[in-house]
Amino acid sequence: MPFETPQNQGFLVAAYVVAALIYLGYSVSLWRRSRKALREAARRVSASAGQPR
Amino acid sequence: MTPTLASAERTLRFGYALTGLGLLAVSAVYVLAICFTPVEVRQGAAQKIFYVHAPSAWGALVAFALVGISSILYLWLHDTRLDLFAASSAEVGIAYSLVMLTTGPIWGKTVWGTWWTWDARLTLTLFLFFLFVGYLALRAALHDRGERARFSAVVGIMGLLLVPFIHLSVYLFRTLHPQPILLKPSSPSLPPEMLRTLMVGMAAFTLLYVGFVTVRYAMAQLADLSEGDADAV
Repeated sequence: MPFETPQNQGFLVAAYVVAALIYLGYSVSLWRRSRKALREAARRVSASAGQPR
Repeated sequence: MTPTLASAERTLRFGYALTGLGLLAVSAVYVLAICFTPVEVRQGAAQKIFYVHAPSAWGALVAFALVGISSILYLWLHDTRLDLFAASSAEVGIAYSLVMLTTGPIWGKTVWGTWWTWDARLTLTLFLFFLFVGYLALRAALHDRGERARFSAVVGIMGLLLVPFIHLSVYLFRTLHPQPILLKPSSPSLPPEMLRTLMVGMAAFTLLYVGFVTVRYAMAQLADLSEGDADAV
């Protein structure tokens, strides 16, 4: 009897979508947090530079 | 703008560029795997999960191994950059291991008939994931810089000890997980088209790891800068 290749494309799609969501989600999270950290650091540095010694 | 802020901003921009390139490279791996790599006859299309699962596992183990190595170096040299790098690599490693731990069961369901089995490889990998979630929780809980760096370095080294066990677990224990395809003494056991896609995948996911870590490291530098100024004030 010839071997029949299983039809399981749905699992492939599910795995690729999950991986893409995790990597894209992490990229967006890094981008947002880094912009916030940059603004915060710039604010702190300019505030401390303006203080009298 | 101080030179430190300027250099952190430069690192951040470089990280954005690397991450963009990494995401493009990973998209290319998707196209290569889906359109230009043959379907494995016995497992069907689901076998192509391998091209995302294996490079993500590689990225996670490299990330966690580097956390351990930089933690050892931190305890020796007391260089803050090593601590910031370890924290960055740990967070990126968690993202990679999350992909490994979700794509693995989806693939496992098609070939083993079950989503999860408590065999050595899978269980140790889950432990490693939880260990590094704990590592980040510990860092978030400690406010003293020196304590945070020292205590988390010890946890990072514990994680490093698990990495070789995870790699060798398929030889040491009876397990459902397949044995390594690339990192083994003999030559790779894959047809050339599949091996090519896997190698491109390894390179793409490594590039993405470098991009993520660079951005995360710059972020840690910026946070450190804010903390330093806060201490000074």
